Amino acid sequence: MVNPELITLLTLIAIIFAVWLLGFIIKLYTKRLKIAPETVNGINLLILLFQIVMILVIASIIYEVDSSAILGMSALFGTAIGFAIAVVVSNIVAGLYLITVRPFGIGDLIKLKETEGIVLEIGLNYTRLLQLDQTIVSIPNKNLLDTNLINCSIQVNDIADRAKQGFEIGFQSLMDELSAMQEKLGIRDVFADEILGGKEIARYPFTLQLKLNVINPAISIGTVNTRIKGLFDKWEDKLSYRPHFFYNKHIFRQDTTIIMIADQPQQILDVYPEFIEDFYITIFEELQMEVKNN
Amino acid sequence: MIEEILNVIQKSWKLVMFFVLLVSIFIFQRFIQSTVKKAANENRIPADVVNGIIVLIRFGSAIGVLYSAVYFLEFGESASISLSLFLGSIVSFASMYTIQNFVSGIYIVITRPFKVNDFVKIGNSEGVVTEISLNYTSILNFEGILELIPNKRILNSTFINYDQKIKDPNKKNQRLEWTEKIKSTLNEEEVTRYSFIWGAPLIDYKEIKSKLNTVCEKYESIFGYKPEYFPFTINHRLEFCFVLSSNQPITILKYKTNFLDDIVELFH
Repeated sequence: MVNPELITLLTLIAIIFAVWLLGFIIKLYTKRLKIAPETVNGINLLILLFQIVMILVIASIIYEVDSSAILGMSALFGTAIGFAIAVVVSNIVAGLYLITVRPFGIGDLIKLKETEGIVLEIGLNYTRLLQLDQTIVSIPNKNLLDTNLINCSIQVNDIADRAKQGFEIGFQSLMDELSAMQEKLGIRDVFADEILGGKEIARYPFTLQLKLNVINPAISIGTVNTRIKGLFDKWEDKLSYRPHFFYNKHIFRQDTTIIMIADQPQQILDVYPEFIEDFYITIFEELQMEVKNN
Repeated sequence: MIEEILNVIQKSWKLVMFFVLLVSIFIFQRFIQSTVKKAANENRIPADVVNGIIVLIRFGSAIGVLYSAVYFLEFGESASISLSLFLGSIVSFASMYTIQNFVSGIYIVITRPFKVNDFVKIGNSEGVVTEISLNYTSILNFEGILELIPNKRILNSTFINYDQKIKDPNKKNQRLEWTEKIKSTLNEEEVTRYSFIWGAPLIDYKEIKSKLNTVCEKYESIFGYKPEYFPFTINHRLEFCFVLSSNQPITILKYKTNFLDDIVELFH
């Protein structure tokens, strides 16, 4: 007469061996597949976890463990794993939130604390931006929910609404340009019209610091004003909207905020380096060799 | 008389067993500790492992004592359940951070935001990824030092992957047959396009450009692509954004500092 406990023990050992063998074969197979080493690490860990869970489940079935014990154990493991997975899931939830609330859309030019660029993709984990230097930066969605954000892409209607409240920098000239466009196209009302009313433009603000005392005597603000005016006349033709500027605080250097306006965000990214170049050569005219020689 | 003694023994049998177990656990623990220390002295076990093993043994014996007390002294089933609940919740909360790193590691391996040998910037660290393990991602930085970044931090930080797939410029036609499309994706070469910012002094723009051009031309043969630059912003200097491209991320790691040294030398 064989002891029934011995039989259950033997079956358990046989099953453990089978599970181990299965994992071993899968590992052997993945090795042959020549997958990247980091993937192999992940697969091995997953196999191990799977094996442990399977052995536990089978053992509890064979030994008819009290269901409340299993419940307690799974609750404990669940807490640990649940808290751990929260890191990953929070990004996915944040992604869904961004897609639903739409603080920005794909193709918008946005500015964040450290980065700025055109939104290429709002994924479930990361949002990707195309930066000025054409590199693609990935920002965890969770961080995007947690930071100040400037969306430079703006609807003309929204600008008009704000202008009604009495404040919108450069609104009047923008309206002049739009009405000129309207006359040209022969459209009656800018805002009633679907083409122009739903129109989106990109207004990109950035600050340059002018070291006006780089030469002696220093460049006066009056001179800078005329030079910027001349420069903007040229860029108005290029971008079809006139850029705006105003002075900010002066600590050693004169901070100057410039607002570039263009139909497409991509246009701003394309012409920005050329604009800086032009700006530098025009404002610091005295530094340039040709002027010196004359 | 004998019966009485037997009776007492039978009654206190479990108590005796408990003490026997306590002593045996103590002896066992001592034995293993001395063996481990001996092995460490003979350099068979690395020194940093010894402490870990000893701590584990002590914890294990403490838990053994607790459970044997519950079992032999007959505290009842509810005591054992609450004890395991107590220990279990301690262990699960304590292991949360470790598990988070594991989960993040698995997540990185599955979503593959970057792979080994990519040039990346994660938070403030830049370099070539040398390994993605389940706990840490190691990066070889410009100082030639391996930097270990916990996977959990990677998941929470902004990163740039400087490696970009550039399709064969000769095949710009979008309406390809799908077989050719697959072929072209296979032909994609990966180029590392690393960018950084450096400020030039406020001098003649043409002079700046000619100086930068000479350095860029010098490094064209080293990187395989001509380094590019464009004016980025103006402050107390005129800041330029430089873009170094190469087929090998290691080349950029090696020569970026030399490149910048050469530029600085020309200006100062």
